[in-house]
Amino acid sequence: MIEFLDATKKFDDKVAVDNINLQIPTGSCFGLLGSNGAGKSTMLRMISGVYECDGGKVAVDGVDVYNNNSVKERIFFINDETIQFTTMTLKELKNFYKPYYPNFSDEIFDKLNAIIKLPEKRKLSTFSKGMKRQAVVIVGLACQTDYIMLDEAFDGLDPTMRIIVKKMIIDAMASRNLTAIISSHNLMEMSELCDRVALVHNGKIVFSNEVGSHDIIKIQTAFAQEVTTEMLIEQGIEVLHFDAKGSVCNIIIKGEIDEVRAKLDKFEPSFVDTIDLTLDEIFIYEMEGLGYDFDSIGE
Amino acid sequence: MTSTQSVNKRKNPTFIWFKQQVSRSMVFGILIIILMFFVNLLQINELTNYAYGKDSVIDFVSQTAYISDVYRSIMFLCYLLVFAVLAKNFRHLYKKSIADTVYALPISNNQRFIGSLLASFAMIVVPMLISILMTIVYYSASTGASQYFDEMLKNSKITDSDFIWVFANLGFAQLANMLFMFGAALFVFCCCGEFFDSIVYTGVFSAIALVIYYISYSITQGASGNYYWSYGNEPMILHYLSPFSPLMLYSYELILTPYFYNYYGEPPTGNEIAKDDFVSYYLIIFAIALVLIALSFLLHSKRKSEHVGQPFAYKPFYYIITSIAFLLSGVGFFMSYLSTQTPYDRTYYHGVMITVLLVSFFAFLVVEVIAERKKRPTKKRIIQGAVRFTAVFVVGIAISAIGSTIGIKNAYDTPIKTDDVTSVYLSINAWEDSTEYDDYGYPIYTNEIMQSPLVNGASFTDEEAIAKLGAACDRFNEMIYNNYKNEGYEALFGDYSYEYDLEDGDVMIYGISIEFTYEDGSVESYYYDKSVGDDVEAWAYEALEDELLLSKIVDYEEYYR
Repeated sequence: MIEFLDATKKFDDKVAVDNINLQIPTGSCFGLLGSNGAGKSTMLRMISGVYECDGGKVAVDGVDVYNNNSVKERIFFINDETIQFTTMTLKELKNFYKPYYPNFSDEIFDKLNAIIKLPEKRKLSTFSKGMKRQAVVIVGLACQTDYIMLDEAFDGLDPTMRIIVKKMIIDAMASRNLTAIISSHNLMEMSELCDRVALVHNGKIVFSNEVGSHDIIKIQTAFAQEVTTEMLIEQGIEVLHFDAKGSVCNIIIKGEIDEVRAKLDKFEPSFVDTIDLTLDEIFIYEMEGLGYDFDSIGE
Repeated sequence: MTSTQSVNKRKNPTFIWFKQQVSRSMVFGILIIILMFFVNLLQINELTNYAYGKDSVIDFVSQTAYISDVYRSIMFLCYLLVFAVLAKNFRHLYKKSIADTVYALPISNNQRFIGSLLASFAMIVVPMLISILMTIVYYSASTGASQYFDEMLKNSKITDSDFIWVFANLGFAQLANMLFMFGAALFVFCCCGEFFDSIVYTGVFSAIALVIYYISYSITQGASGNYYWSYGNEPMILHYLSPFSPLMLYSYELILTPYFYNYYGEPPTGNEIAKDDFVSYYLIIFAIALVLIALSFLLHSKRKSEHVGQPFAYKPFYYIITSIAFLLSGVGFFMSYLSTQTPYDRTYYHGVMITVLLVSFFAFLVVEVIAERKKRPTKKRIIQGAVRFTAVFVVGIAISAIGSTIGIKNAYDTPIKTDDVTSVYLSINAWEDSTEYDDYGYPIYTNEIMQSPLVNGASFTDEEAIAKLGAACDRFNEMIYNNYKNEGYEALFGDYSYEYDLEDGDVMIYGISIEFTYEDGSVESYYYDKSVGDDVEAWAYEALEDELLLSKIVDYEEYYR
């Protein structure tokens, strides 16, 4: 298990990760959501031992990661850049990582490359962005670490390759209990792949839940009388979004469904339906709750 | 997908990193082998030329006049290659694109440093050793050269062991210089996070010794005018304590030249030369290189990946560098000003001090702008910069002020420590307006004073002679000190505009040079011209007939190098 224990990271005066407490269970696929500059990449670098905590610690199975070889050889980090290996061929890239990771498997490497068919003897500088990312992913999976970290995991991959890479990660999770921690802006893919997600904003965790077990509810309802946002708030309902078309209202509410239903009953609704939220919607409504005004964009 | 069993043996990360760095910097190592091979050939070539007095044993460099230029150019390339080895093996310190990859690997900061350091040494030291082996093989295999070489050794006074000792000294000196440059540059690389800054500040940092030396000399000695000079091991070490110092290119002359002087005078005593003049110097260089590398290790162990891409990883280094830039530019400008003056024109420099400080300010500003280029110029930063500049400016002014005196130590008010003096050299400067010349173009003097060994320059090691010359110096120094107190600083520069109207055969004595060599190898030189006082000339005439001095002269051939 990976734990952030009051972990803080600062760059000069800027606090990038602010006293975070978070647990990432072993064997899960954990998604980190957040706007640009929220602190997702910094968190991944803290887990990988690239950054040292300025306060608190990041521990893997109870052991501090930073400057700890025995922990770091159980973690593979793929950052969001693809320019670092341009002078190497795929084979050289493999040989660069191989000696550091005791479980490295040539067999897995060959098997994965047989699927995506990257040329082994061509310089990576001649690869497209997506090909470079595939190359690093198959090397990372061949390292057979317990944890793999992917920053902007699917950036530059075409739809087919996205499916293949996702399949590779899921297979590794199934076969050897790999823990994958992924940050991405592609929320649809995150919702398909991740079983847990955390929303990061301004270096803090806004929420961390299993996918589908969040406390944001989308309700479709109709009232005989006119009901406004203010009236709902007066009843103690935390409204994130209110949209009325005629008598039918779509309301995004934060809270327990039974509690919310009990409070709504006071307005005598003709019906109350609960609708599943997509990760996109959760992201958007949480961000609205944090002060982002998506409606004003384009006005 | 099924997982496989562990297939790799656990290896030491330092060793893995070392191997990877060696393979990356191998090309530089190969180039060093090739270049050092040529350097070795040139060195042997010089040695054989001087020792045997014949043309070059290397056909393609028969013009010896060009050899030292060729040698320096090749050595310069070698030093650049050392720099390239360092930049390649420690690129994780400044290359942002690889920082994540490198710092995420299961290898600690210290292991990475040691791996990179060993790889760099392997690409510097091993190529040098290989080049020496290649040189030996070349001479063994090349029949003509080998015969010539054997003949040279057989017929000359140079023995095999002397030859090897001198050759070893050269290798030692070159290696020391390379490691010193490596250590200084590595220290700066560990303090900086960008390649550009690392390069620029290696240059600035390498001048730190020059700045320290010049400033300490100014404070202790002042600008002592034209009557006093001192030089010992310290100035040489400090003055050239720079990875980019020309001395690095001169190691060859430093070692060979005195060797050949020795050769022509006496049977070669290569061991003595090496022991006295070079080994101690290069051991210091080695020691400093090791200290710099040890400091680099400490800095590297504290380095964080986020330092990569920042001009300075450590704030104190930034303050040091801006201060050095200020003082260095001042010193540099002032020295270049002095170099345009003849010794007799140095009526001091009050007038140029404002220019010196302006140049310094400009340098300070340039470094400040470079260092802060990634940050916005806030009011706070501007104030901080102004405060720092003011502090350094005050130091600069203080140094300048002391430099316009005769300094704290005061060479003119300190008795000569004759007990510590090992030898004295006396030269009475006399002039006869000769109109006749011998076949070689040298003037033919008729006055017997001009034939005196004291006029030609004589050395003394006798205690009584040393005491006598020490007492004379003390007396003249007191006169200069009194002149200084009465007339001010200008009195230290003397009057060199002699008017003379000599008849044929008449002689004019215009000055005395006395040079003391101390046990620690340092030298103090004094020069007294007639403007110090009439006593100077009178003393010179007495000395020319002084029985003690004349009887205690050390043999010229034996003493003079």
